[in-house]
Amino acid sequence: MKCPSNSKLAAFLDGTLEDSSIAEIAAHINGCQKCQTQLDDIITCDSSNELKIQSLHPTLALDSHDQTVIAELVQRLQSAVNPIPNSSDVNSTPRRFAAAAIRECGLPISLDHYRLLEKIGEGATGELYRATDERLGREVAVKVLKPELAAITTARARFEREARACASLRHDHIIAVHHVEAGIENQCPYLVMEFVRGGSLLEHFDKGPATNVRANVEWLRQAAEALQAAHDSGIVHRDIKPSNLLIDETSDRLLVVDFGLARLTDSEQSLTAANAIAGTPAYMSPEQITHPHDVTGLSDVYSLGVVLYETLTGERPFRGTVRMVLNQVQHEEPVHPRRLNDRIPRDLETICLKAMSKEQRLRYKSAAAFADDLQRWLDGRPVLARPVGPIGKIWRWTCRNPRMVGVSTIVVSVLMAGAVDWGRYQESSTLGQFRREWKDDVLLRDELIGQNVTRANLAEVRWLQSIRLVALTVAEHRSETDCTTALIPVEARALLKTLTEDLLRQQVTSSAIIVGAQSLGDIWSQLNDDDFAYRSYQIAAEGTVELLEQVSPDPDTTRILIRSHCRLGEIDLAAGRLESADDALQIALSANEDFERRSRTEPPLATSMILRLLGETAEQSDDLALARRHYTKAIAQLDSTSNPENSASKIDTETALTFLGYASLLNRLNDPQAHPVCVSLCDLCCRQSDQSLAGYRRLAAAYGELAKCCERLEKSENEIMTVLSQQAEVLEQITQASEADISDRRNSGKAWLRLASRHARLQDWSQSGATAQKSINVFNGMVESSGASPADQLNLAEAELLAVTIQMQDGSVTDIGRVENVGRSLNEVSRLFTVDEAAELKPRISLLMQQCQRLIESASASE
Amino acid sequence: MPANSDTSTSITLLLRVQEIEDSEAWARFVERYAPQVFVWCRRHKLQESDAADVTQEVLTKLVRSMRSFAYDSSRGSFRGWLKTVTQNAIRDLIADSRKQGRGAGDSLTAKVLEQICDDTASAELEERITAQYERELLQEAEVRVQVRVKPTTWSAYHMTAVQQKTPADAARALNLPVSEVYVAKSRVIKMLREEVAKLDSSGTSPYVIE
Repeated sequence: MKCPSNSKLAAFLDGTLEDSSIAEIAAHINGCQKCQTQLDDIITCDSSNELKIQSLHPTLALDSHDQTVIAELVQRLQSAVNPIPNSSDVNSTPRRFAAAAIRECGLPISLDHYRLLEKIGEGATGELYRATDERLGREVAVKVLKPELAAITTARARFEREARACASLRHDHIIAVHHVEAGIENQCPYLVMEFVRGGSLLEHFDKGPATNVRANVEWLRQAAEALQAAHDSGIVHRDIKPSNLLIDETSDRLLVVDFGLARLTDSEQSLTAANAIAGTPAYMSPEQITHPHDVTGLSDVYSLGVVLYETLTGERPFRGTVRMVLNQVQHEEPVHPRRLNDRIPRDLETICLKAMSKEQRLRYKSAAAFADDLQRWLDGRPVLARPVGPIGKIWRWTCRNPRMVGVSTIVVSVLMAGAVDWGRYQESSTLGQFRREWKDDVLLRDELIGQNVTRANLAEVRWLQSIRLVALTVAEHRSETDCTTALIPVEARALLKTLTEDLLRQQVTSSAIIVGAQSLGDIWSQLNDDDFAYRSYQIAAEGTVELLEQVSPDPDTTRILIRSHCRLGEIDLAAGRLESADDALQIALSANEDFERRSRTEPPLATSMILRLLGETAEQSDDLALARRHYTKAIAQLDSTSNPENSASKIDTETALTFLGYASLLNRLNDPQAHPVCVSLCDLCCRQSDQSLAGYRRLAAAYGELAKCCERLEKSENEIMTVLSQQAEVLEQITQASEADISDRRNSGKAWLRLASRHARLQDWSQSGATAQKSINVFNGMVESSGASPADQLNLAEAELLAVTIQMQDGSVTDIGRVENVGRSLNEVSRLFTVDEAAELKPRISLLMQQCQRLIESASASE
Repeated sequence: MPANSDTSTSITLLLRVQEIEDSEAWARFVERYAPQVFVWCRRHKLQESDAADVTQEVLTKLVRSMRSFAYDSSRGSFRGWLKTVTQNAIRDLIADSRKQGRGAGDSLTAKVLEQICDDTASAELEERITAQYERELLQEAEVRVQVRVKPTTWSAYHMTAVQQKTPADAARALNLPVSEVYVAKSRVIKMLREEVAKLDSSGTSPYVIE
């Protein structure tokens, strides 16, 4: 046989040759010197880089003399107990510490009047002994600082400080500390505690999965209660884990041990990084890993959540090497307990995952809140924690797939169910209610995968999920604050834009697209961005029309058709696009009526609302007769509305809005009916329980209409003044709300001004002066904050002149300088007019100028 | 945690040496590293008593350097860390030798230190310490591999790789074909290499939590 190639030989050594050729090659090698040399080379070459076996094995070639010297040297060095004398952390080191003595002499041994009998535990910082207090003759537990730590002055001091801190805690579920012995000079500090018979939770875990869940939950509730007591005293445990939770078998209660001592380990330099993390990373909170010196009680809440997880599932949420665990704690979500064991109660899973939230703000706000929720579960009451479920998952998905590609046509009935949810979401006042009804999107997705739905459809589902996520985020932020876009998280806004861009690029219509389009429209509306809202609704509206041409009308698509058209009409109306508003609203109206006829159920929208919007549109188009017809119908419909999804306050609001529009129309029509309508409208607005900003605005508008009508019908001055001052008061309240905008302030200023001139006409100078000043204050504020329009400046001028006139009537000297100032500012304002404004404001400004002139003249005449 | 048990690896030994008053770790550290340093001193013509003092000084410096620069497995191999702390220790030693009259140990004069702290000598010291560590790694790896292979396989490796016998001699002694000896040797070396890499790679292997 010919010699095999080098690669064949290498393969032979590796055992990767085919079985058939092995025997042949082996036989060849056994007889071929050349191949053997070759194999030597291969092996040497293979190993020489990393493994210097030959050079390493024979250690040192030493002559016998040197060997003796070295042996002596080694012995001498070894006998130096403290080899490194002057390191910065170590001062004149105590030679013998209790724990070291115990190691050498064995037990029992006495420490002051405590006789240490048996070692019962060992932690990172100390060793724990069962002992007898020989003076009091009782059983105690003594914890002794480890000798390697006892050598460090700062460690001794800290042990003592922390021991005293936890000695100060008195709680049913915190181990009682009897005595703390300071570590002065060569003494080792130690700590004497009550002795508890029974193992820690760790030993209970070792016995197998918890059979009595209730008992375990009760123990953990006690632990949470104990932690709250500690947190209240400013002590964070930092090392909550099963072995630090003792179960007293005589009283069946839990006791938290080892308070505050954990910190000792991670702040002492002498321990290595490897040792510091070798503690119990599995129970560490994410912030404990990233900011170990800056943790709060919420970190303990997290750790206790992990213990609960282990109690429920029998497994730790994160396992592996230290490095892996640390990484998982920070970046991976734990497997949901019910995936591991579906017999775990859902509420307990929810409680557990809430406590274990990576973000602190999503956890229980305190250990007490955690304890309360556990108690609620124990009592069989509904728990407060809510499954956050899919949201976090979608966020992460969105991060990985910032852009969705290729949305195709598909009708997924489950998705349409989502549309119904949406409607409800829009109407439900509380987010929590919606969350409770929230379907588990992940399950939905799994279901779809099970049904072998294509990837494109999956993309649609995800796209929708992302939209819901943004909606939830927006709603969450709105619920606390004003709805300005600035307060929405940047990521949510960016995601919203991406999702909308995806939508606007769509060529194809699908159910998912229209559902998503409508939702995006809703979100943009909430953010007051009418432009994006309009474009989104447009896609929804056109898409539904297109879909309904292809397939027979189904209720869900029809709902979207109606809602999106109605919203389009509303936006058109607000923007003054009256024809387009009328078109959209007419479609919404007829579809809504059609829906009601066909399904014999409540239509998606209140017909009265669409009619009211149509009435407003007609009024603004100056078709007052048509407006009147719409309003009359709307009012008739108000009575028939009994849609259970519409809350009482919604119906009230709608009623108020309808009557407000109707009253304004009647005023324009000079209809004598206006007065009774206005009176009952004011009544209604006053009565409405919802005293929100919008409610106040409606009330102010109602008073405005009533005042108008009273003036027109020449009611008594007294009546008119009452109405006007009521309106002004309400408007002033509105301006004090943080969400009040510029037009609220303008209205308020105008109301005061109107009231002031009326008082002046009645020659009630003191009232008039005070009211004029209020108006001046409002407008001045607007000028100072640069929010004043030229018209506002004219109002200010008018108020100023009125004030001067009143002063004059009052008998005081005319403030000529003030009048001149007004004249100057009027001149300035007139230069800033736009063409439109000039046409409107010119007559008024010349009137005011004349008034200035007259005032100056009469002042000089009186002199 | 197995790290503090008696079977601790050289890594844990070096980590434990950093801990104050772990006298057992210190004793073992001295036992293993002192001869290397001593031989190094003697090779650079130090007198016997000076060599003993310098050895103590070097070992002390090493431990101190280890303490001030904790090992972090996420930042690289243990071997790399050891190299750094050794260099730090040598730098300290040289710095001491330049400071006349202080900090240079009891009987150690600056002159003696200066005598040995040139570049070549430092490089050699560093090499010796690293080599000692590698030797320990290998020893540990051998312990772990030996239990995983058949006794004859182990013997084939040991005779050829360690005792430097020819494969033919080993084959005769073990009553095996020569080709088997080659396969055995190759296989054990491969396993050793993997084991050493594992031990050295991160220092995490002894710290698995379960």
